Amino acid sequence: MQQNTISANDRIRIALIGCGGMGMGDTRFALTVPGVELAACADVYDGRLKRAKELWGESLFTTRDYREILNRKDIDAVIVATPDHWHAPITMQALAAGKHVYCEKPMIHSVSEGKPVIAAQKQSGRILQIGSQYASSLSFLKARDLFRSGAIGELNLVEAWLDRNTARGAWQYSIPPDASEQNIDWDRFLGKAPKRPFEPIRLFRWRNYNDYGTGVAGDLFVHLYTGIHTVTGALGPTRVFATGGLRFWKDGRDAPDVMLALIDYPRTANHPEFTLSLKVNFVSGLAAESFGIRFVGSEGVMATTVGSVTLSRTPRETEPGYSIGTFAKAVQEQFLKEYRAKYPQANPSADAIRPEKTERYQPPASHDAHREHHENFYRAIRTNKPHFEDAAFGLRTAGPALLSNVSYFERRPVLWDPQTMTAV
Amino acid sequence: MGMGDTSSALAQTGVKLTAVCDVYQGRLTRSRELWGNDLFTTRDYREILSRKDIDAVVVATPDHWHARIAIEAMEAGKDVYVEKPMMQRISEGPGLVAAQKKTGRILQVGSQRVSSIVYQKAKDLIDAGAIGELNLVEAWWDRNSAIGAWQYSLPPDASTETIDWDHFLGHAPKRSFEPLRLFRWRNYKDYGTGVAGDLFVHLFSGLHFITGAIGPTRVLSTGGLRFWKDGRDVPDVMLGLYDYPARGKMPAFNLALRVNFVNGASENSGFRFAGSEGVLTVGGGVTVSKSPRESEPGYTIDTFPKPVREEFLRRHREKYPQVKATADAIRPLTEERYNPPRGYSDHLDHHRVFFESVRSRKPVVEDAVFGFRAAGPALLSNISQSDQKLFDWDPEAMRIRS
Repeated sequence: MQQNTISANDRIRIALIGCGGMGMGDTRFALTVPGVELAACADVYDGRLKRAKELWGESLFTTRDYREILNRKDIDAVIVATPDHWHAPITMQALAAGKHVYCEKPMIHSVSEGKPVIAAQKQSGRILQIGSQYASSLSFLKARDLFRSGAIGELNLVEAWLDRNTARGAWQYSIPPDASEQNIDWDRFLGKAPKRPFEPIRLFRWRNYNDYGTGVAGDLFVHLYTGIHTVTGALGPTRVFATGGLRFWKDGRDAPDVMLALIDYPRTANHPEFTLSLKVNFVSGLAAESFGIRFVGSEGVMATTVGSVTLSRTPRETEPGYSIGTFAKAVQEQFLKEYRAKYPQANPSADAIRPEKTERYQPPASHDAHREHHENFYRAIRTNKPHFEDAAFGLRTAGPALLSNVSYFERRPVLWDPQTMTAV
Repeated sequence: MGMGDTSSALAQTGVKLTAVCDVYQGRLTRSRELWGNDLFTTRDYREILSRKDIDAVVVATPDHWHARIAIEAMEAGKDVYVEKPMMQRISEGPGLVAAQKKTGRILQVGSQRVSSIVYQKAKDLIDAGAIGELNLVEAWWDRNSAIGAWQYSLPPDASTETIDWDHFLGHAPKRSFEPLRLFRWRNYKDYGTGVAGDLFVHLFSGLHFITGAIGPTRVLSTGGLRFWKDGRDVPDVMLGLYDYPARGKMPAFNLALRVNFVNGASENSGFRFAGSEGVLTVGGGVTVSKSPRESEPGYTIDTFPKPVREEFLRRHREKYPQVKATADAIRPLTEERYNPPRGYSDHLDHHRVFFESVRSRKPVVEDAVFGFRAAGPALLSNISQSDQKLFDWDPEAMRIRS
């Protein structure tokens, strides 16, 4: 294990590997953290390296080969924001090269990559933080506090959804008009994926293809799992079933645009047994994107989004009520006599009106979960105290998410062991 | 349910109640209190079926008696209004369909939404393309009370004298007198069909009526007994996922069902149909929210260098000429609400439809085949939940595919 050599006030020099929309967004947030400097960028498309220099200066070191970045001694941390099939290989190599790593979600492209990433992190002693920012969202942390305080009673069901309805929401990202074999390192993009001839749409819209992306499960279920595990302290489910279909965006993609899953969570010390229902619909018919997680309990429901937590509580009824209309009159009278002996009639008064409260919690307007997540990463590097969204957390969210894809394509329920993080 | 059905039946013109049967004496007494002392009452339904002066029967027994009594009644020449689910077991479905065919009697299943003007409106709107291409249907039923969770009252005079226990048990396993199992029969698999048979069936009936679908090809259900641990052997939280194939003009879509008896906030139920151009919800009324699709796909070019961005935009604007922003360019986001007249009752309508068919001999929509196609996937959900298995269902032939 290597020693962490960065202390509280030191500069942290970072590099970006994978300069797409997410990577550049990550870098913008990273650069708002005091003391963080961008030293280098890697991408397989030259245009993005040019763009990086437009944004961050001509002195930036840029390369098509991320290994040139890992070899540099003056870089402390890297952001891995490549297509999903490169996440685990680059993350492991970066850790081995002594870099701290902020790796975009999902941490892995297939479940089998999970344990090696955990081992690599352990061996390196470096910080590895996964980029699902809900783990740093004040809304989710507030929801966690409310959940732990028993605000909704006994949890029995969690529903989470993300509805989209636009071309961009459905991953129809723009393709640069100058895309060519000259300015794109096609083989490096492909990496471990099956060899195939140059076809830029597969690079710029890599989420649409299982060879590089992980579909709605890897892109979005992972976020939902992150939110749910953050709030409940759950380790993961025992069974995953997913279905859906490619209903609308039939642009050659091999990933579904509607995906639903039912997932069984066993009882743990942190929560009772509950069922999880997930939904992503890229053809939602709605005017705006809609996202949320609903935690349903015996005494209330808590709805969480990035922007707020809403808690609706209904105290349980004080008496069970009765259904005696079908009994003979004399029996009804006898029933009511016994019932009222057991549940004395409360004199109707203002006090007898049951309180049905809805409380809404909103983080301050200045709070941005994404920026906070980057701040937490650099704080972790400086204090050598990792954020809880580490490699194990990353496998516990990505594992069941990726199993949804297995369930969908193999048309069967899939079993998972949340303790050992292995498919059964 | 049976007494409620009878009230709705008696609200129709020319319908007279002649006889009542129940295994609990108190309910026969109650019937005479309600409908007069000249009512014929019995603990043995066969005494009713053998009477020549009875044209139709309402079968509102516990679920495990539905199919048997409905078949015997049709064979005795009666028209039958049978409560949902039409049968307790999938294996009882073909017998009901065959008996209806053979006897030529009217059989209507009691999921009243099939006769509801609200569901007819939803059907008309979807047929007219109000939400574009359907892709997902979500339907739910949330409850949060003891009565909602089937903790029905037990009469204080329940005894082996006032109750014909063996008659109640019927083909269910023999066991000693335990009135809880009669008065809260929905809580036990021996007599009821759980949330799937009580409530999923309504949702399947409504869905099939609105979309013209005849059933899913795959069924997976999960859930558990989370709160109402009163000795019942059925779950109080249940969710299901169902794959519907393309059929006629209707594209393939997914169905997600949910029943939660421990919904700590509110009690409500409804449907949500998501399509490529809008969302339609059905509850007490129908709501349509239309969202026309975007007129151009938009772009994500921030990561390209300046000259490439400019070239991209030039080509993009060639293909999608920039529309000058005008008041006309503002996309209309409409929400239309359709509410039935105040006091509307689909239950009354469903009974009206039944007696109209009894008179005209014209078939009803919610016949034995319809009832089978609604109850089949619902009952399969129970097996899927308890056996933790995914099932393939043949909706045309109405059987489990092996």
